[in-house]
Amino acid sequence: MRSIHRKGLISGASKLLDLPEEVVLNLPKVTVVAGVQVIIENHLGIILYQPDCLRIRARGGELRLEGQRLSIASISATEIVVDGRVSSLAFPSFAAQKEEK
Amino acid sequence: MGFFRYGLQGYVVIRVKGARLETFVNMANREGIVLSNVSRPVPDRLYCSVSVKDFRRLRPIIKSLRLAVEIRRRRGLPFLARRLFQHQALMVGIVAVGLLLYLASGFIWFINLDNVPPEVRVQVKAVLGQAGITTGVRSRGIEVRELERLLLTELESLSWAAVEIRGTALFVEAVLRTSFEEKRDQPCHLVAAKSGVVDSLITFAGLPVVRKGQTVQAGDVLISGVVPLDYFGPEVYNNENVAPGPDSLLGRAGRWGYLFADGLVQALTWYDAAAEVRYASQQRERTGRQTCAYYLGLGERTLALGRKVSPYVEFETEEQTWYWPLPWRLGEIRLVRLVYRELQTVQIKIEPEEAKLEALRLARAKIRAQLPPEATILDEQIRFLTEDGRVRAEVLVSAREDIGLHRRVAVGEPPPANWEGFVIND
Repeated sequence: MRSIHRKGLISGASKLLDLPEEVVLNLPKVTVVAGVQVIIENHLGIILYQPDCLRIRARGGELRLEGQRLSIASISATEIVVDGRVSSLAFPSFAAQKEEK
Repeated sequence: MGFFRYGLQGYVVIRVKGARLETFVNMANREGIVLSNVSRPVPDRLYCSVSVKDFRRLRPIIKSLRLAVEIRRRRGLPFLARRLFQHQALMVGIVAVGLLLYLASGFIWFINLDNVPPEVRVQVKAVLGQAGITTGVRSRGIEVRELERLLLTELESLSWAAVEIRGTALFVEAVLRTSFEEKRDQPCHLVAAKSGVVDSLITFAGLPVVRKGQTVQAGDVLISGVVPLDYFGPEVYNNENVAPGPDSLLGRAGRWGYLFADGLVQALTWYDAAAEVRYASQQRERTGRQTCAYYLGLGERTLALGRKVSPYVEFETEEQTWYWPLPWRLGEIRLVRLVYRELQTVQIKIEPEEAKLEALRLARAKIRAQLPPEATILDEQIRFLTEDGRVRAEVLVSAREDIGLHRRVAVGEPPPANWEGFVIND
């Protein structure tokens, strides 16, 4: 409860100071290139990797990529580049958190 | 995989087999090991590329997760170099060929005299030979400007020479002195190049034999290069070895002296031309449709590629040719493209006034083609004739121009018949 409170405070401050939230809160930033490439910054590792599904851990929840022939073009401490035919991109746990709020 | 990042330091493509493959990726990631081209075609196998340096750091992870790793491919410069070093003869060959090409490119292998007039090619070659320029000489030491100067000083018949080194070829270009300068040492008449009426006459040397207002025909002598010696006074007339004044004699025979007659003779000349234009005419126009035929050629042989003949009834053809020279002067490969453009006949109707202007334009163009550029147009007369659907423009132009032309005289030849009554330096 306290952490949610604190997060809201930081988020409000970052909005006030016009700072990018993903940097201040270390949230994942996702860039999609027309369904052929997805770049995820600020990830915390892979939960599941299959050719048709990729689940990525991030601060505050997980990201779920679905598609065909998904491959990880490169993976480093901060960034994952995913190639393949991406059909859907979902943030299940992020959505749940927002509803909770 | 970026070439500079991975190609230079080398990378391996590995296959990892086991159950906890996601953990493997995450652990590698935590260690700062960059994996790329990660794919997992089947659940228990994962393929990825990793740099050689990072591959060694993967070992503890692999061990702790009890995975099986196999190197599938080795890529990059270090592996390529190792492979090449295993074939030392090949390496030596490559280096030797490269070295040979580099060394050979520093020599002159061809001397091209195509742009040297054929009558002096042998002499030019001889002068080049004197200067030590033959095939096989090093191109570095050749002083091109010096060589040009040498050609001009050694061969007086040249008025201009250029030497250029392009790669392994030496190109020489030269121009002969104009014939005018050459002829100065030969006795000459100044004759009329075309018919006209003499308008002004200035004599530089020789005996003028026409007057202002006189009609001359093409070929008539205007200034004679054969002069009576008594014009020069007794000191010349009596002494064989004396050259008279500025008009030096080039020969003498009896009472005649021979010299290079020169002067400026302006005459009035006339030009006429006519052109016809139809009010109603047919013209062929392009329809915009076109097809191409290609031919490949080597020497005398040609090979048609695909279509050979035009598919159109009325058409015009344009030929475009590309050449690729073959090494060792084997000739060249030609690619010929024939563009067939379809034409159609179109009826054209022109207003009579427009037709007149067009006819006049055509007739004037014909005159301009005959008229020397330095001629001055004095007068122009235009006449139009109209008959059954055509208009005819007749243009008569009078102009003033220099009609003098040098013609050689042989020593011993008599002077022109009408010389009497004229004086030198009138």
